[in-house]
Amino acid sequence: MAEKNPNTDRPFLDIKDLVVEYVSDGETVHAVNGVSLHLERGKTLGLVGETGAGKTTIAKSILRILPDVGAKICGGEVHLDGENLLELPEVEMRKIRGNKISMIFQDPMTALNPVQTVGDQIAEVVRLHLEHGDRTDPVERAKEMLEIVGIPAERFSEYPHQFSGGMKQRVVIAIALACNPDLLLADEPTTALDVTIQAQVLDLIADLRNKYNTAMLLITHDMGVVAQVCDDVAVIYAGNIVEYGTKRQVFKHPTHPYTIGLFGAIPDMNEDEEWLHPIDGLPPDPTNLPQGCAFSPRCPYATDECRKEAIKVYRTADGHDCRCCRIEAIAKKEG
Amino acid sequence: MPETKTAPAPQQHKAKKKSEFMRVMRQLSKNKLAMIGIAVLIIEILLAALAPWIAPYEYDKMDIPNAFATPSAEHLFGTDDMGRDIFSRVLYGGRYSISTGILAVLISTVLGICVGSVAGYFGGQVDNIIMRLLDIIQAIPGMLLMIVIASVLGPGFINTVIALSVGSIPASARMLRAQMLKERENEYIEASQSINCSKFRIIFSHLLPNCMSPMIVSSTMGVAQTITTAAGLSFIGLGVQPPTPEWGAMLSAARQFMRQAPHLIIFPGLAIALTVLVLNFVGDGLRDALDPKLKN
Repeated sequence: MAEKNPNTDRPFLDIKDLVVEYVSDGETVHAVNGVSLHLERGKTLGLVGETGAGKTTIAKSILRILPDVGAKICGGEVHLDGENLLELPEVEMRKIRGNKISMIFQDPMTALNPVQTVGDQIAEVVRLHLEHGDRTDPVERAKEMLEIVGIPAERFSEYPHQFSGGMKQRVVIAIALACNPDLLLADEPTTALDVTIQAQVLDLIADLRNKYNTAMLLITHDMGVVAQVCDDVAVIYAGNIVEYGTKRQVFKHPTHPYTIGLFGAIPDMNEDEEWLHPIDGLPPDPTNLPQGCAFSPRCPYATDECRKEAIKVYRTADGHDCRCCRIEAIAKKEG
Repeated sequence: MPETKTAPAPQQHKAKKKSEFMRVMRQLSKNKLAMIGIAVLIIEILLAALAPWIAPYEYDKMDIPNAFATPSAEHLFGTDDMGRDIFSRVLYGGRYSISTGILAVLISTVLGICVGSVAGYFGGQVDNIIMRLLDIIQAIPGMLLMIVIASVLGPGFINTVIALSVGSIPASARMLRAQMLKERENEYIEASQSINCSKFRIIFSHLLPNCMSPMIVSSTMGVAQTITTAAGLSFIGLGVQPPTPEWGAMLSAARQFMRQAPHLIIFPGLAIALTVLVLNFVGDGLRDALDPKLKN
């Protein structure tokens, strides 16, 4: 974000230089390579990138639910409300999971336990976070949450297979919001849904967020969703943030060649286009990232300089961050 | 304590409640063979349970002059070499045979579930160690293992059950582990981690119920198999001891008179065959009913 003021306190969510690696069959997968993000209460940050760019890994690192075997957070800090989550003991972390931070999962078809009633699954999260002496009735709360997400409370004791996809995603949202979290991690919440339901679900999330002033990290690969929901946007490529700014900055003046390529790949509905314009090439193999800029093998602007060493973050003309050493040349060319 | 808050709110949604259990039951009720199987099984269990009241004679009441009597109105299935009434003995025998089968399978399934779920959920080294230990048990031929355990512990009802169950732990543990490995990849497991379920809770309240269908089927079939194996064990003299009327033991005792008085063997043999057959019907029916591909 542009206005980074050192005088104010630490932002609500502050991720610094997060590095996550997976080890499988002796090979190290560099999933996240030094990501820094920050997010204020009540704001939404869109995390955009293609499959395998490390978006979900970032979300799971925040919750510390990476798989026990193979995944390792190698460095960095995740501060929530001043606490470094990566250093908290597991006991403290348990109070945060599902309560202060909760997650909406990508595929509502598999994110619900097929043999438990939806009501029980909502009540479970409430029950798990009852403080001593708290008189909230989990079942009542679950019914209330069902009503809030627009499902009649009478369907409390039905099973997931009796719900449609959009309804299931509503249940997943109800579970995520049942404890009034401060931070919501939405991992592609609309990918598995059709466009109409997608709009409904996004509206629902937006309403609830406004009501409870929840911050949200929205993971997606859909620029349309970002345009609709987010305040800030971070574009991530091969485990690194390549462009980071407010929605207006990134959408108006995309600067990184990858972001430009992403926007270029969206077909224009007003013109008769015969071919789509994808970015040439494939995402790099995360076990063997290219030297220098990870995007350089696919980048039309790449020079030898790009392939030498890790690229610094540059400030663009309108004041957002871009990890590209050729921004001036690109700005000239794109005009 | 004044009950202020508990307003009678429930019951309003019972009409639409369609649990997995009800669905399976409905599916099962469409299967004629399975329903026949369940009916016969219930009758058998009732007969066995009520044996002391139904049986016309005491199972160990001897009547030597009347030995080897062929089936008649007086002795429905005839009498054996000591003049004991075979019908009564078959009734009483059901108590031992059926309960041995069910108990042994219950024990091995429960232990298999514990071991298998730990191995399947945690994976890695834990899984490796547990599975290799189970490999050791499985490397010993099943019948041999049972004979060894039964002869070390000595004959008797409880010991027979133990001998029968140990050998089948690896199979059920293996099956559950495979199921767990498949099931734990689902997103709802990740979701339950994200709302802070403990590992124990994830295994027992989320994973296990989703892994149970193949276990239920294999246990039902397992009971049938265990009854035959128990009969085998009694046959070689290691199971339940005479005069306790276990079906296998009856066969064993009667084998020397097979040519002269075949009814000594036919009736207990029929009882075993019938029980195994209906258990297999039920198992087959359950497998079809639990198969998610056949839903609705």
